[in-house]
Amino acid sequence: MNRFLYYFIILNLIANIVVEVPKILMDFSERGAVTSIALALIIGVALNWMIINAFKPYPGRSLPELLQLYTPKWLNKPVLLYLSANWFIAGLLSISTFTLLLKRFLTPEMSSYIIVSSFVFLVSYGILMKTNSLLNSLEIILILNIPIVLFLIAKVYFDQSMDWDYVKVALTYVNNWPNYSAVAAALYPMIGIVNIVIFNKYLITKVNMGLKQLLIIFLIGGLTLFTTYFIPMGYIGFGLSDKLQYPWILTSDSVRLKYGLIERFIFIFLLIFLSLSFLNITIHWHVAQKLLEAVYRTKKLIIKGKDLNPYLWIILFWGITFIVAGRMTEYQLFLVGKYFFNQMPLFTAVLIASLLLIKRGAKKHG
Amino acid sequence: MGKASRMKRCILVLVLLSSTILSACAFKDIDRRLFVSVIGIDPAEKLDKGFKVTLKIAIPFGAIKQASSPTFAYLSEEGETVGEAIRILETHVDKVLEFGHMKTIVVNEELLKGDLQEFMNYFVRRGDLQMISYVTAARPSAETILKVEPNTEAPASISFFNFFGGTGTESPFIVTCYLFEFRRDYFSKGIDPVLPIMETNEDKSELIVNKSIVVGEKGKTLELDSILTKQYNSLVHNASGFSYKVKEDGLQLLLNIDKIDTKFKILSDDGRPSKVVLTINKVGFIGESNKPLSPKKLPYYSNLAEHALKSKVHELVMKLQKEQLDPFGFGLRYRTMRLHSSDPYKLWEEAYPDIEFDVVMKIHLKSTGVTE
Amino acid sequence: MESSSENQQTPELLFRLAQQLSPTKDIVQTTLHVEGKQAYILYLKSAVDETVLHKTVVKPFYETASIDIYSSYLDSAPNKKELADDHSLLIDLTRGHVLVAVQEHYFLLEIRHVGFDEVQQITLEPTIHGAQLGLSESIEVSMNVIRQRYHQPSLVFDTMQLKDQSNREIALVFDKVLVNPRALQLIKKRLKNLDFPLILSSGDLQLYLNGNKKSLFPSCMLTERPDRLIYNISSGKIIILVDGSPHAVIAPAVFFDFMISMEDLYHGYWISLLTLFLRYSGLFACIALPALYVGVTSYTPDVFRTELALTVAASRIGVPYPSYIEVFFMLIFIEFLTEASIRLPTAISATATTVGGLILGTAAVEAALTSNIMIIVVSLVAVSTFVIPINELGFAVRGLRFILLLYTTFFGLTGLAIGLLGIVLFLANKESFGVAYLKFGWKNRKKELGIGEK
Repeated sequence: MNRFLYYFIILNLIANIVVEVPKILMDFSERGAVTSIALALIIGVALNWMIINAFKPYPGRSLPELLQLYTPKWLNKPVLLYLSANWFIAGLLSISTFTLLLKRFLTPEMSSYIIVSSFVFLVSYGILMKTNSLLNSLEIILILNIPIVLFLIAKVYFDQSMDWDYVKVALTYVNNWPNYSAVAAALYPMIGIVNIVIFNKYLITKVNMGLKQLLIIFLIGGLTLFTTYFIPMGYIGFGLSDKLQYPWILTSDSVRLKYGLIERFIFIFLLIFLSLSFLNITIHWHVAQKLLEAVYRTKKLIIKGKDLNPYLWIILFWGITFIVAGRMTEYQLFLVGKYFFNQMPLFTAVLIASLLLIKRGAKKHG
Repeated sequence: MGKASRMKRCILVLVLLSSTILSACAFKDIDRRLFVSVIGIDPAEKLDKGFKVTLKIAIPFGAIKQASSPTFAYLSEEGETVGEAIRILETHVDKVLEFGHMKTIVVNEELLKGDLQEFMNYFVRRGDLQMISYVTAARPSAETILKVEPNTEAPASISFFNFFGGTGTESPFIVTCYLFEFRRDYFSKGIDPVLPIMETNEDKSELIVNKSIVVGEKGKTLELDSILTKQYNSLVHNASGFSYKVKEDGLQLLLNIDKIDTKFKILSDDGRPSKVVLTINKVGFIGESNKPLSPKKLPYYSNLAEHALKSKVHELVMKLQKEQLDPFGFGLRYRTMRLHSSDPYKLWEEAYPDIEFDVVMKIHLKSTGVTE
Repeated sequence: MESSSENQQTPELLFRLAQQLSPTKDIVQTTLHVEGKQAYILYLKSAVDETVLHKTVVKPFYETASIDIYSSYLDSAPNKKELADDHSLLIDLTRGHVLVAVQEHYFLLEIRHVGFDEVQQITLEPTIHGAQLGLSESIEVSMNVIRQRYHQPSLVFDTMQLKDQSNREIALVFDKVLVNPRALQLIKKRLKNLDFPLILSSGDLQLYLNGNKKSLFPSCMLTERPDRLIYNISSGKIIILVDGSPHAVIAPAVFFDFMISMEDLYHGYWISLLTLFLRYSGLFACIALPALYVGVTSYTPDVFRTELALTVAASRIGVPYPSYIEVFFMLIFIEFLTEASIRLPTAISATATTVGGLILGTAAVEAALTSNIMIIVVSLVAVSTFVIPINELGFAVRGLRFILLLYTTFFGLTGLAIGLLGIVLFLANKESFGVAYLKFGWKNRKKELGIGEK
């Protein structure tokens, strides 16, 4: 498979280890989290398979182009608008949670607006970048960070204070039925592949999916979801984690680098996951902007041969982000995140339906 | 091109300008901060209900190499909650109190007998407090312990930190309990945390840590003396440097154990927990003896030691069982053995008071030391 | 182009050209004649090798039997050039061409005299192993240096003339089999559209070629090492040689090129891996350290170990300025020092560094204007800057760390982390002649990514 597709999947998986997802899953730890994770894993792998194979016949084409070619106009605009809203909100949620996270753990005295602006400024640069270059930076940042992430995760796994009995206790709740919200939350990290809708334009070959690739995704996804949900139990304890806003951050603070350059693990952890989230946000918003551009584009903003349309969207993004991220409380954010995850199945349904429509349209065209 | 880059530059300048105005509040230099290194909590003396909070603040000293001992400042205040007392203390100093380096929480022994929920909450909730700070019990009071400045303390190092976590001294008598462990085990069903007890000598020149206290639910506590502390520590934390004296028929042996491996298994009978089998493997050598020893008789010495140690461990678990305390986490283990729907913890709670303990002690002595 | 003048005393073309060149005194216009044979010569004394001229033009004139034989001798001379219009003739004369008129024919012969054609010692990128001699200021010699180290029939020298005031000759050197065609096309286009009044050397040519003059990072590399040139030719890059400049420009240059020292290729695997690691950690240190100092001391001192935090706090006692001003001043100070020691003659620069570095540094600490730790940080930054093998990148990095310092001052450690990512994004978005500036290379990469670009 094209390695950039793996990058999308892995990035989304890793970036979601820290916030929101584990919190929601732990809320359901006595109400079917274990089975929900298993179910989400299977659905997630199936979704990956479906989406990749749907794009396989159209190398070098993005979703907006395909929709324009093969589906009626009245349909493709609302669909694109809905999809782009999803991407935008995904990025917005990450920015907001990280803003609160940083405010709480790294720079408590700093105003939220400043933390948001430190993000938004460079994310906007990422949006304006050439798509090709964004893929290059994705590769570089991911490859530089993954060894550190692996080290951090391994450290958490093998630390002496890790008490596996709590993990086992969590596993004894295996005989509960899966819960819708928990499935949706566990599914979210699995569907990083959806970024293909724009990036497929630059992915020429090897966009295919066989049994081997399926297995790889299953393994990576399974391990990451396991880590996301179960490992914090060993540090926070079972059934106590629902009182905590950021279970993974507390977990990372529970590990001590006795002889490390920095004694407190949490700072390396925060900064590394901050960079990965930043990358994920940039990619989300890049996709959102490209999709929006396919929905609405005015010639009036092409001034002196330079297309200023992207700036329009960026200003819109900024406005919303400053209002939302600056004002939201942790609990509100948590609720919004939950609602957002809950409607993720609709998002995937719309995406897959539009891909099926394209397939039908393409058949008609011959 | 030109226009776009000019626009980009304008945005940059705007963002940077706006942040200079705003960022003024978060920027605080390191010399404008006071590093709280230890926090002590006692019951309030003046108020009916509440706490007395004492902070030990490390003062940075100009020339560290020349200074002979570290300098500390102490702040005390009472308040209904810990947070309230600290808020008031912030008005007593000219600099920002920085809790990021607070690595030891000293709690008055008396407080452990009450409800810990109240002040524990504060420590977990504050984002800048380390979850890897050590929690200890203090006798006679946290304030007295905090104010001890041991003679061995070097400048820019704080002896409260060196005791625990294997940073400085490593002794089987010292139990280390991190804040996150304490919180986890205190609130979880089926396991109870053990805190070290810090004491001081008469002229307050030494800190002494060799006892510990098991903190159970609802204020149930049990003090473990040094010998039991050592036993507990070696079993649960595999503390190294464990030594043990065996006396038999006028023969006195001091065993040095390097490697300890403890496993326990819970046997069920009729769907109820009936027996706990503790299997302990120890590997070591003989460090001291009052009589000449023969290497051939090592199995015999091992056997002697096994008997002696076994009874000690038995004594420990029986004592804990009598008080219904469970620092080993037997209950937690039992919870992992059955699906949650059969409510294993309830079964365990019922069975624990008369459960049987079977201690299997295996000691493998490798040598008689350097001399025979 | 045929001249209209007929067989007169002095051919009109020569006369006209001589007039246009005057009043310079180094112009030579002579007539050779013997037994009815006549030839006219025009050249600039300062540009022509007169011994060669005498041997190849003057002497044969007297030795050949007839004027026809002489003219066919000249006609078949290997250094003969085609005649063009007056303007380019004049330029050719200034470059060391000799115009000979025999009967009604004109011959333009190149008999250049270059006083600076020695191959130069390598000074900028010295290595222990590897070539010790670099290029020459004369383009012919430089071309010779390259040709003699790369014996491939596919090696192409494409010479052309700059269109500025200096009218210098430049040569594009590449391997026509391996070359990146898109980059070649772009470079040729840029050279054609080059519109600057005066180009002094390969250094500024490189800047003008960049397209974006205000870019912080270099997108061409300047080098004087022939082995680096060969290495780059064989990896499909294009070399631009400029007459009179001992440095060659290597054209699509990407970030990783600037981090390679030629020495890496001459060491064993582990050693070069180790030096590469050192170099990248040096790069990271000199970009991030000042920002890290501000971020940690002023925003998040919890990051330090407690002992270190106390030491740093102690060393800052009495320092009147906030940390970012302290860092900023010290960095500027170090930049002064570096700048001074580069420009000064070696004998004096040692004194400057001693006075500046040792005495001022110690005094600043004693006077509590800055902290000890700060001095350590700044010296570390200065030293690690020199680990970067190519100077241009070193300069870019020097600028970059101020930007990062600024970002961290505003946003704390968050700013540092995001700023570092921003640098990666920025570099990845940059292009050098159609080649992405920062990307990982691996086999089959082209297949998986990128042809979709239109």
